[in-house]
Amino acid sequence: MKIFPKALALACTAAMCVGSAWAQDTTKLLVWGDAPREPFYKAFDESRDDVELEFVSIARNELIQKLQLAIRSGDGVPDAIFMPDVNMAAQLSTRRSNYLMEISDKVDSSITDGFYPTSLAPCEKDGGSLVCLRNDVAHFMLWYNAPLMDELGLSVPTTWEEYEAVGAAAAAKDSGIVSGAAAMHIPLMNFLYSNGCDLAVPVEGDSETLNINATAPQCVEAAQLVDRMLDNGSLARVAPFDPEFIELAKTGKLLMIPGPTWFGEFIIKRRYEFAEGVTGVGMTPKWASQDKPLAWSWGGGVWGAWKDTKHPEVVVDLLTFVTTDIDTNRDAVTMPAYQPASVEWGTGFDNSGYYSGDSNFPTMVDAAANGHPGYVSLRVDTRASFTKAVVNDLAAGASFESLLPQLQEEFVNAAKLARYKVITE
Amino acid sequence: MPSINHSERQARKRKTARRRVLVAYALLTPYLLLMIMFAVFPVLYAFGLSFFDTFDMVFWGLTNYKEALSDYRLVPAIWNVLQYVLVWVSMMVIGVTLLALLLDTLSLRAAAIVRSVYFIPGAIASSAAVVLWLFLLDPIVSPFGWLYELVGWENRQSTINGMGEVWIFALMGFLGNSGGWIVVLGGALSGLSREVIEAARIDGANAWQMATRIKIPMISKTITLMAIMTLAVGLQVFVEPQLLSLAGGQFDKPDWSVTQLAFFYAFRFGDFGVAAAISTLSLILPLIIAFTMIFATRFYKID
Repeated sequence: MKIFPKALALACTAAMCVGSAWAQDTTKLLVWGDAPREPFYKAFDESRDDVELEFVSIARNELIQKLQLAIRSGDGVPDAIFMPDVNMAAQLSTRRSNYLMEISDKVDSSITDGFYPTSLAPCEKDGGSLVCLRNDVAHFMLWYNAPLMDELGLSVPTTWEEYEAVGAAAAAKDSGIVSGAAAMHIPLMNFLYSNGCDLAVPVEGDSETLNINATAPQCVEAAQLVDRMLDNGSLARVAPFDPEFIELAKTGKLLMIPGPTWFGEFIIKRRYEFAEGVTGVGMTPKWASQDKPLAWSWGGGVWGAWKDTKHPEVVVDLLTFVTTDIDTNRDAVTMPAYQPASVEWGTGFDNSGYYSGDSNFPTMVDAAANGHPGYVSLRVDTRASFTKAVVNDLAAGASFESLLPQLQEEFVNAAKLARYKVITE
Repeated sequence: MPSINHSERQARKRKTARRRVLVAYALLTPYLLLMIMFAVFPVLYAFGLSFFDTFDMVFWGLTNYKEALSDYRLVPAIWNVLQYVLVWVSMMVIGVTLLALLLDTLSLRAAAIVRSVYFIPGAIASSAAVVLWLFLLDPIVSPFGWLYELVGWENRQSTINGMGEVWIFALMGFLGNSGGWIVVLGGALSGLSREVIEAARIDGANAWQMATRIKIPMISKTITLMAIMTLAVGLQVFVEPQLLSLAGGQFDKPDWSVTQLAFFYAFRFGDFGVAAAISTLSLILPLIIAFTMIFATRFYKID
């Protein structure tokens, strides 16, 4: 009896029937995502007459727990989801919370090859099998206030050492001008990771073993730079989204800030309210000892599907559509990870007239090539661990360098709890 | 008319008594049913679950407990919760008793108004209260901003660091829960025998003596009840630390309390077995404390 509908469907395809008389031809899918992702689902819904999507909006911090409940009760499990944090891909493909479908053999390599290099790393399970598709790339750039840079007679730094010097020059004489906000997890991680410091990076070829060495010389060097900048006031001891930092940015006291690709649109334009033509986009700095920059990322969500969905083909179509459809991604709020779609998006970015200069997008593309290969999906909640070990104490006045040992301890503990093997040298 | 003989009277008495018992049980049934469904059964279910690998439903003895007890976050979480409970329960016992006694000295109408005012914060659900507190703790928008600045707390981070989570959560809990208990203690106080109060007054007791020698000893059982209930709620502290992340990722405290750890196992790792083990373990301590308090104060003894 089970074969019957399948046979019917096959016969139907063979006869090229266009589904008018077949009411059951409409595939109904339940999909979860956050509000910015609703238009993506909608576009897919509209592009397919045979598909009907039921969209449920889920808050970021509730996604995993709601999914756990749905899986456990076996009721209302979504066919596809959007994961705003890349770590969720790993958290949802474990033995106990085994939600994600492996899509390696379902998505054509001509499509996966179109993604930015290293951008699919968070979707790779051990052995390189794919469990999701990347929505957007979110590597760090250096955002700056171009008129203020000119006014101070300073030039955009290309190394972190220059970044420190420029920041110090701008902050001199109690000008109150800042070059970043340090008391937050990922901005701090970027300083460490960009210098080749391994906070939690899988060993090559073994995704179950993490290299954790937060007290290595590269880490100490980066932490000392942050400490010097905190001491001379060029880095603020608050988070980039704290009201008082936003106030600084709004009143023209923010010279530059390392931030991911979505920073311009989401933070600088909407929260810092920089005027048109002010915001410049610079390449993420490299360390003096490096040949090229190594950019950490902040976010860059991923799309995944349920391994037990009744409509695997349609769901894979959905994942491919939302990540690669050029028309849908042209107006995306973040930089698409699929290169052909990204180019269209970039044209819009450069033509918007909001940013200083008219070819910022190529810089962002160049930076994508420098994405850190260790930006993968981990079962460890790195943000929470980092916050607990470092951010609170740093905000209270401790030096970053002095907190590295407890950061090491917390990361090792958290990794072991998530059943990783840990190497600490 | 022959009078009803002795045994018949006894039988009728027994009948009435039996009927009374039956009525009592009938009235209790809805509560008992709900308690079994939503309190007793879940506890037993969790207890059972804690001995299984909940993925394949294989019995594996104490493995879940071993895992729970070897979690590096457990000891700090227990320490956090103990500090919190100590601060919060003392705050409740001292604060609520004091306020209730003060209210008792007011005229009836004034006391009714003030009591209602105390009750208002309790009407806000604790999740909403957390959001409210995030504003209260931010010197930029808080009405107490000037106070924070006097102490040198310039932003939300330094305020939270300065006060410490224990005190912040205890204050949240105090404002949220004190109103209800002030009403309860007020009820206990107004139920005190006026004769005793009168006698004390005639004997020349002043307000302080009246409170400490007469009123407090007479409502001590209600205070014990409050302490036990507060303790039970306090040991399960969850909402306050869990929702602190609303203030921004840097305030996220996913492993601050023991209940949060259970939640973490269930909903992050999908490991309901370890979650059940932690829940079972965290039931033992409150039970011990509650029984100690009940027997130490001879709680159920009727004078």
